[in-house]
Amino acid sequence: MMMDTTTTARTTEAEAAAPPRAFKVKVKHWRTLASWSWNAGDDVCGICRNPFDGCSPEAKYPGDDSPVVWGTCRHAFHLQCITQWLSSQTEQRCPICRQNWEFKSAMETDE
Amino acid sequence: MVGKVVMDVDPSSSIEPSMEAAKGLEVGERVLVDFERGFKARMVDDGAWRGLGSSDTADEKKRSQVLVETLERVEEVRSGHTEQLRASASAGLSPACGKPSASNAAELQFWLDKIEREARSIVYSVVVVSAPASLSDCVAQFYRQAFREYIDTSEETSSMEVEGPSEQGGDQKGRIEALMGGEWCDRLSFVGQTLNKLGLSHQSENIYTDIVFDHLENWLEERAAGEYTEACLLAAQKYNQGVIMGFLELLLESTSHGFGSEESKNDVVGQWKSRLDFFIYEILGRMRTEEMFDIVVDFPESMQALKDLKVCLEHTNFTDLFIQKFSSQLKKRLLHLGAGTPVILAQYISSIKALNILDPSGILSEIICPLVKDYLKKRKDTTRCTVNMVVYDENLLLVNGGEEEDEGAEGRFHEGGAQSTEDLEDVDLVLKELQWEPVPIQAAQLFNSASVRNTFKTASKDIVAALIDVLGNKEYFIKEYKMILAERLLSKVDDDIDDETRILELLKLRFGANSLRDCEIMLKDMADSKRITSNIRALVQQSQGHSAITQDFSTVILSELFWPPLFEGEVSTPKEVQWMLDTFGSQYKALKAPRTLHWKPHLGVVDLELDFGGEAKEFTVSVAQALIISQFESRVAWESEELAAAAGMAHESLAEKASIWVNSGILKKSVDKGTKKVTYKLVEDVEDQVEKPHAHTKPDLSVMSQEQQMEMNMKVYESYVMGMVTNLESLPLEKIHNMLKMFVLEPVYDKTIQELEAFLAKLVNDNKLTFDGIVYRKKKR
Repeated sequence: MMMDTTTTARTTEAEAAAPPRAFKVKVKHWRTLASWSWNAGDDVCGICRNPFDGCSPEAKYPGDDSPVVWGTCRHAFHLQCITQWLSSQTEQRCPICRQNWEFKSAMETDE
Repeated sequence: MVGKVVMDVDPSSSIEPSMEAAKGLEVGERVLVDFERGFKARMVDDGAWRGLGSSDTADEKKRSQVLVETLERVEEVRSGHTEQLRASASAGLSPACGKPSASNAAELQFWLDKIEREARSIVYSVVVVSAPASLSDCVAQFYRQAFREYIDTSEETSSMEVEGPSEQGGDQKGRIEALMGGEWCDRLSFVGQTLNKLGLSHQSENIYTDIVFDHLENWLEERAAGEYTEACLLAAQKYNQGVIMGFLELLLESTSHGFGSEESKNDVVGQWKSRLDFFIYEILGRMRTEEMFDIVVDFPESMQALKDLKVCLEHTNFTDLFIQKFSSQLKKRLLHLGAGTPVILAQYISSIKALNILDPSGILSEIICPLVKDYLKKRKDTTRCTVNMVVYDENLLLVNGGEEEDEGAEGRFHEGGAQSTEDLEDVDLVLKELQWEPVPIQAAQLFNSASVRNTFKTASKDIVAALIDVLGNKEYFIKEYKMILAERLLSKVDDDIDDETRILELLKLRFGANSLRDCEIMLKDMADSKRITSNIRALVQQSQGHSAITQDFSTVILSELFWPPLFEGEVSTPKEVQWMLDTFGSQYKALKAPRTLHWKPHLGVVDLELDFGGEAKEFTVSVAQALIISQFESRVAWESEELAAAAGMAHESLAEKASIWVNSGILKKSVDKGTKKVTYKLVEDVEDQVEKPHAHTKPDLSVMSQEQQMEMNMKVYESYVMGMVTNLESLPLEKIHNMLKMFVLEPVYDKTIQELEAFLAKLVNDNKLTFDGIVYRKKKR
């Protein structure tokens, strides 16, 4: 280490900035990480109280298996949760704001 | 020492002396005094023992010869004098007994026996007084030599005919005579008999007992010490039965007062045999006890040694000694800082298995294993090592812990044999009942604590259960498994999850599917990511006409809620990669709307090939590590701050990430003495790249360890704590704890006081606080 110190001290700026004679880094595979989200906020589903990015109680897996839907009233629920709620009610209303429930199409939710 | 010879009349004697007892006594006293005087004179004054004392000759044969000759001489003197005594006693007594009749003859015999008995004790006392001190040495030397000759010869022959000595029964004497020759036998018998006649049978017995025991001990030492793969006990017993007992029988026959009958002979021989057998149990038991640690190390190759030890422990009362010795061996050789946790765990498992062989009831392991268990609990990496061992290294999951057997044993144990008669009709059950063994006495100390009793059977029989018992709770195990699984999944570039899936299925069998749901989702994420990646790759190829997202790019899309927390950080992603990220992201959005992707560009794995002008080296590293090394394509040397900026990462984390290259010898780190600036320089010559031995050269992990999670969780409270000590100067631990509980609502303070103490200790370590044992203060700058 002592030796190193002295040699580096002598290294000039120009020398340090010089490119190496023949050094190439070849990427053979690049794997990145990402996470998905429904972008329904950090909140939980108003019916099952599980996070939107988690599972609804009926589903085994998150994501494709427990999709999140929005009503025209802009309230979001797990699909399974809201379907169950609506089928148990005589009137089709949002459980949170009591407005008439209508599914918002996927394209519209896209802000 | 003689002077007075007292003859007392036994009052319980059945013979009523018709002659005056006084007369008998008088005659007896007279002849005995004469006998004593004469015998003593010959023994002491004439030096019957001469030659024995001065026999310093090195030649053992000669010394034996001298002993035999001396004994012959002494015996001659003794028998001569005894004859004489008998003659003069009969002569003296006959007139006193009156006319010869049946009753008189009996009376005469009574007095003669009495006198002879007295004479024997006189002989003994005279011999003891007159014999030189070296007599016992000479006798020992004689026996030893005879024994050695015998052993040597029988070993020679037994190596030729293995069956010979092991044949039980048969005529031992005949066999020995054939083996050693009549002369050898006669000489041995003569010495034995003579010593017996001189009243020295006890001494002689002690001497040959010592010799035989010594030999047996050495024999065992030679055969058994450090040798665990063969059953030594049976061999030793066979040897005892065949070889050693042969020698002893010969001696016993001559020294005991002659075997009265075949039955008493069998008695004496039998006693000796069991005495020697017991001695073998003791020696072997003690030896194996001392070696127990090594036996466990060699397990299961050392199975035979364990079986031997089991029998030895059954026949001796060494169990307590065993517990004490083995425990101290464990403490001394295993439970110290020098032993790695995996080593301790492996030894722990072997110990349980081995102890269960010694004691199938599992109590021995219940007594000893807590020692190791408690020690392991103190180690930080125990959980991790345990999971690695159970899941990846040892295939322990496939072994089912013999639960059926457990239940049977437990039932028996608790009900204490209260079996219904119907059950007993089952032949198997009856047989099982017959094999019942009482619970060892050491169990008593266990049953004071109920908790031990609960784990009594399960922990000692099932290895995985025993390991989880170390951790205290299966939840810890599962939590750690989740961490390890995440690390493994996120640190490789391929999509092969077959092995992990198989392992997960096995774990589900043991722990239930519910507790492992997160892990299942993690594996599903991997499979889904693979599918989506190839889908998107195809889509992009269609729309753009050429493969924009190449085969060498892949993404893992996590359901983040179900994964362990990942490290935060940032890097400057290379342009090509960033483009792929963007394209991929928009395609994903199109496919899965309204879901979107959140990139974690600082995490990920890169397969690299470093080309040093012809010579290539391959690495699998993290994204950050890859970015660091790729900066050296344009410059040979970088100052650490510049390098961090170029790679787009925080300067603090650079040293840690760059260490993989320094350790593998590709970068050289140097510190300028004056400015303290750190410089990294590329080592361009492959030959100069020296890899540091035992250095960490793995990619750094995306997943936070539990400790790091904890640290991060506590970090929030640092500003509160610092504020408190700034305002209030000094605070004890409890006060800080209570104040945090009271005032910190976001995020709610829910830590234990122990966790807080650990955190404060860290702050002290980081020179932010001081602690004097009672209160914490802010460190003065």
